[in-house]
Amino acid sequence: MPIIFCLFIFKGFSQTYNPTPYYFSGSETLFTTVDYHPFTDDYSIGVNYYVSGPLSSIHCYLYESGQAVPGMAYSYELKREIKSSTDTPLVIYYDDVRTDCPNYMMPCDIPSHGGLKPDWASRADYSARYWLTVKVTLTIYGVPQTKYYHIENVGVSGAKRFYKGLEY
Amino acid sequence: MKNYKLLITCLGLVSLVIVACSDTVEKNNDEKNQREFYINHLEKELASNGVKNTSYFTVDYDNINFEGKTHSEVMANIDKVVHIFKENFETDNLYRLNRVNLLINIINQNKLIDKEIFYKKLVNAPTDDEKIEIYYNEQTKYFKELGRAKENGDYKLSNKIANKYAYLTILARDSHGNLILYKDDIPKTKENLSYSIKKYDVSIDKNTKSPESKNSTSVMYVNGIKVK
Repeated sequence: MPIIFCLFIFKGFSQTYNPTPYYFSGSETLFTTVDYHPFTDDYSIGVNYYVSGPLSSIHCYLYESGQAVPGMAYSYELKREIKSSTDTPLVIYYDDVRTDCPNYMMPCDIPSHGGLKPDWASRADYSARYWLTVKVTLTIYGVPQTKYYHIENVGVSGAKRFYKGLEY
Repeated sequence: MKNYKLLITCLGLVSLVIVACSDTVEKNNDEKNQREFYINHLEKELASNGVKNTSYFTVDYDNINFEGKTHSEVMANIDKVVHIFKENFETDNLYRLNRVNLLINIINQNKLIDKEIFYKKLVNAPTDDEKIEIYYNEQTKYFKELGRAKENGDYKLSNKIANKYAYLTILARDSHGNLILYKDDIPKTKENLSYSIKKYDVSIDKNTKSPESKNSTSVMYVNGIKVK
């Protein structure tokens, strides 16, 4: 039964997938010191990402932000980075209420008046994940002390849907 | 006669230099002894407060700088340093212990202890500090290997290493069963999450799939054909 249903859809809708370009961007924190230190310190490592389609691509860069308190020094080593993005065509059905025949006394000549019409939309799946070793050094009253953290599989991932370039 | 005078002058100069040098040596020795005394004092104070050097938390005794401070200033500073480092060490250990205990809980709940030599070593370690150290050292091995793969730009090797160490990787799921990425291991940010270990997760394939089919919006749709 589902096979017949699919055949029916694609028979009635044979347009090529040619979506309007879309893009979105964002940022995500990968490491922050707030939870690690008893004294205030707002240093963080984050990732900026930019995803664009059709035939999705993802661009990322890591950044450090915030102000380390005097005596604190941070550095990190990137050990692994996995970025992926896919673009999946979707068939959506939008409500096709005709504007040229708004009067119910004069119905549209197309049989499915106010019915649903198929069109292509896109789904963008994206993911950027990181493995980092962070080194934190605190030098206080002339005494240096170092800590290391292995931060595994942090980052961002998700899916967004677009129709005619707009997220829906 | 002239030569004799010259010789005396030279000898005088040489002896002056010798005296000056020995003064410096003595002064250096004093400073060295003093420095050693301070470092020993600091080390003892830290130890008595439970702060010790580990592979992830180290006080760098070789690069301590007490120069330009009087004796009482240095002693006061050491007191302050001990206080701050103690707090720092305890907070840090708590953070690390939370993560280790999370892993141990998953191992125990799923009866995985016999699956890995590492699990046995970790669960049976007599103290919390040893558990933290064992876990950190295993992670270090993992990250070192990842780092080498990255240097060589070998992504296949990187994936292989990640699979090899999948017994260390904790997965978190939200209440819908979807995998989520989490930023840290502070329990307060993890309410209503369920955990598993990547290597022994039976539902990994099912749940890594896109949540698309579970969502519904006001627009009707069916899944299309995959392009890539």
